[in-house]
Amino acid sequence: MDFKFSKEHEEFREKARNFGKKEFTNDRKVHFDSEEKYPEELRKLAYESGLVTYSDPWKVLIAIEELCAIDPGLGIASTIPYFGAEVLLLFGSDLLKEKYLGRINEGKAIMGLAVTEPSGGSDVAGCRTKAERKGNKYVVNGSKMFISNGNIADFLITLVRTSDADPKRHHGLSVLVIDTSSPGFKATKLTGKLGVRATTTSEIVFENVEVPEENLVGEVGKGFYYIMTFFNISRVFVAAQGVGVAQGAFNRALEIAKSRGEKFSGREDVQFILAEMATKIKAARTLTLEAASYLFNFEPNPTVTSMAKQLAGETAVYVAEKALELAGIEAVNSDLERIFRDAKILEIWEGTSEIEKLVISRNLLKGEAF
Amino acid sequence: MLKGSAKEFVAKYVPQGENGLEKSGITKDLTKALAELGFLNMCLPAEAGGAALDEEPYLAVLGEFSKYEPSIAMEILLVNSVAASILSKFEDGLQALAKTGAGELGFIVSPPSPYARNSFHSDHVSLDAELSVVLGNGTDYMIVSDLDGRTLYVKDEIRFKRFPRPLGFRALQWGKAEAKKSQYESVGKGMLEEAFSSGMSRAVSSIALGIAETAIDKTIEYTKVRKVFNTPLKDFGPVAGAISRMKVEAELLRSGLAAQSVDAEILRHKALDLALDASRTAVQYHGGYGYFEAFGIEKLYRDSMVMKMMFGGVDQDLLLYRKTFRSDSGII
Ligand SMILES: Cc1cc2nc3c(=O)[nH]c(=O)nc-3n(C[C@H](O)[C@H](O)[C@H](O)COP(=O)(O)OP(=O)(O)OC[C@H]3O[C@@H](n4cnc5c(N)ncnc54)[C@H](O)[C@@H]3O)c2cc1C
Repeated sequence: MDFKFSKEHEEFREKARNFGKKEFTNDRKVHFDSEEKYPEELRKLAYESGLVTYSDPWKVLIAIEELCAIDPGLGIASTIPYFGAEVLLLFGSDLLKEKYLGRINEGKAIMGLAVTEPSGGSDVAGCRTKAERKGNKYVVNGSKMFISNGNIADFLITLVRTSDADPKRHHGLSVLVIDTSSPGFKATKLTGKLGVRATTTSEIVFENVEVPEENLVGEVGKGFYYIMTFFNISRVFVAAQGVGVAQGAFNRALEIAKSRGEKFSGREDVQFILAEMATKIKAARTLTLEAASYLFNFEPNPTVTSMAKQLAGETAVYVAEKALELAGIEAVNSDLERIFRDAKILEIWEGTSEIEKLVISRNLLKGEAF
Repeated sequence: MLKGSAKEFVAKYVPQGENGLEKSGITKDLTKALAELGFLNMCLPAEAGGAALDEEPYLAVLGEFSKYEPSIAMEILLVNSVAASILSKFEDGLQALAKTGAGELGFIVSPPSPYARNSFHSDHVSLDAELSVVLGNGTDYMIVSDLDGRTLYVKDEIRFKRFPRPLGFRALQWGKAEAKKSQYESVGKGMLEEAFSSGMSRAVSSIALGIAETAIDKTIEYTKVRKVFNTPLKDFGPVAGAISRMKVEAELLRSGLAAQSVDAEILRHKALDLALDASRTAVQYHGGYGYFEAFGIEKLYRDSMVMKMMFGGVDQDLLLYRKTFRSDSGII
C-alpha cells in the first residue's frame, strides 16, 4: 500500500493549483457568483490547459479537488462540461461515441445528465418522462428538474421510461442521448441558487421530442442499471469536490487563526476546532482515494464510494460552517461565505447523504465487505 | 404602544415568495412604517419618546418578525437593544435615539470583534476611522468601539460602501465604513461589547428561535406532502426523528425564554445552534428545492449562520463558561 501520489501526479497537482490561483481571480469569483453566470472562457481555458483529460482519471480527480479548494463554483463549472460522459463510454455504441464523445474530447461540446424530475430525484426508478417507440424513433414527453448544464449543453444523457408493463418500476427505464437543438426541447435556466452559482441549472421540458433510435444507449430496459453504474463512478468525483471544498475552507480558517496571533490561535478552543476540521478532511480524502483506487482499477466498490461521497459532503459543510464560526462576522462578505454557500450542494446532488446511507446499509445487509 | 402585529406588517409590506425583502432591502419608508406602528421605540426610555415596554412583548415581537423576515427583527433589535443601551446615557444621544425610534434617523454599528480589521486615529475632537464590517438601517450616525474598547458615537462625515451580497440578513445595510474628520463622543468603555454579548442574549435567542421554528414548521409541512419512493417523507424514521428532536428542543427553548429562570447565555447558545441545525436540515429535506431562493429555505440557513458568526463564536462561548463556573474559564 502506497499513500503517495507519483511524481507525475504531484506535478499535475501543482499545475492545477497554479491554474486555479492564476485564473480564478477574486473578480471572477465574485462576478460569476453574483451574476449566476457560467464561465465559458474558464471552461475552455481549463480544457486547453489539459486539466480535464480522459487519459488519466486520477488527474481529473486531482484537478477537481485542487480547483474546488480555490473556488468551488468556478472549480465545478470548469470541470462539469463532460458530466455523464461515462455512460456513453461504458454503454454507448461506437456510433454514439463517435458522434458525441468526439466533440466532447475536443472540448467543442458540453453535455449533461438528466435524471431528476420535478416529482423526485432520490427515487430514480420513479422516472416518469416517457419515450414511446414510433417507427425508427422515440418520441419523448415529460420534464426534468435541476439539470446542470441543461441550458448550455449540446446534448443530454436522459433517463426515460420506455415501458410500464413490468411491475418492477426500474425495469422499464432506458437511456437516450437527446440533442438540445431538437424541436420540442425546452430548457429554462433556474436562478436563485444558494451556491455553486457559476454552474448553470435548468428545468427541461420535452414535448414530442423525436430521438433517432440509434440514440438509445445500450439496451432498452437497462437504463436504471446504467445510471446506477454511472453514479458509482461520478460519486467518486463528487467526493473529490467535497474534499476540495473542505480543504479550501480549512486553508482560509488556518490563515485567519494564524493572522490573529497567539491570543487566538493559542487557545485550545480554536486549536481543537482546527484539529477536528483537518482530521475530518484527511479521513474524507483517504476514503475518496480508496474509492477511486477501486474504481480506477476496474473493481468499483459502491459501498466505499457512497461512504466517501457522504463523508466528503458532510465534511465540506462541517468545515465551512466551523470556518465561518471561527472567522466571525468579519467573514460576512468574503471568500469563506461563498464557500459555505457552495458546500451544501455536496450533501444534495449525485445522491443525497440519506441516499448514500441507504446504499451503504443495503450493501452491508447483503453481506458486502467494506 | 404597539399599533399592529408583526404578521399584519409583513402581510402589508414584505413581498411573498421572493426571499422577502432581500432584493429591495429595508427602505426608509419601511423603517418609517415600522416606527409608526411602535416597533422601533418599544424598549426605548420615555426620555427618548419610547414606550419602555417590558422584555416580554419585545421578545415576542422579535420572535414573530424573525419567522417572517429576520432582517426586520434584526433592525428592531439594533434600535431597541444596541442604540438604546448606548445612546440613552447622554443628552445628545437621547435626541438621536428619539429620532431613531421615530424612524427619522438611521444608523450603522460595527459589531465588536477583537479581530476586526478596523483602524482609528483621533485628536480628541475629530476621528478618522475605517471599519471593515458595519450593519444597520442608515448612515446618519455610527456606533463603534475603538481599539481600546471605548464605545464611540460618531455624528457626521460617515462614508459607507455597501456590500452587494453579504451572507445573510440581506435586507439590512451591510458594508465598510469610513469616518473622516468626524465629530464623535466617547460614551464609555466596553458598552458596545456588553450590548452585543450578555446585554441582548434573550433578544438574540428569540430571533434565532424564530428562525429555527420557521425552518422546523416548513420542513414538517413539506415532509407531509413530499413523496419519495411513493411514501411521504415524514414516514421515514430518520426524517421523523430528526425533525421531532428539533421540534422538542424548540419547544423547550420557547418555554425557557418565557421563564425568566432560564439563564440567558444558555438560551442563546442553544438557540443559535438550533437555528443552524434546523435550517441546514430544512435545506436538506427540501432536496434540490431547498437549494433555491424561491422556496425561502436557503435564506434561513444563511441568516442562521450569520447569527452564529455575530453572536455565537468562540469568544461568546466564554460568557457561557463564566456562568457555568462563576469565574473566567476556558480561556486557555
Ligand atoms: C444545483 C443542482 C444541480 C443538480 N444537477 C443535476 C443534474 O445535472 N442531473 C440530475 O439528474 N439531477 C441534478 N440535480 C438534482 C439532485 O440530484 C436532486 O436534487 C437530489 O437527487 C435529490 O432529489 P430531490 O431534490 O428530488 O429530493 P427528494 O428526492 O424529494 O428528497 C427530499 C429529501 O428526502 C430525503 N430522502 C429521500 N428518500 C429518503 C429515505 N428513504 N429516507 C430518508 N430520507 C430520504 C432526501 O435525502 C432529501 O433530503 C441537481 C440539483 C441541484 C440543486
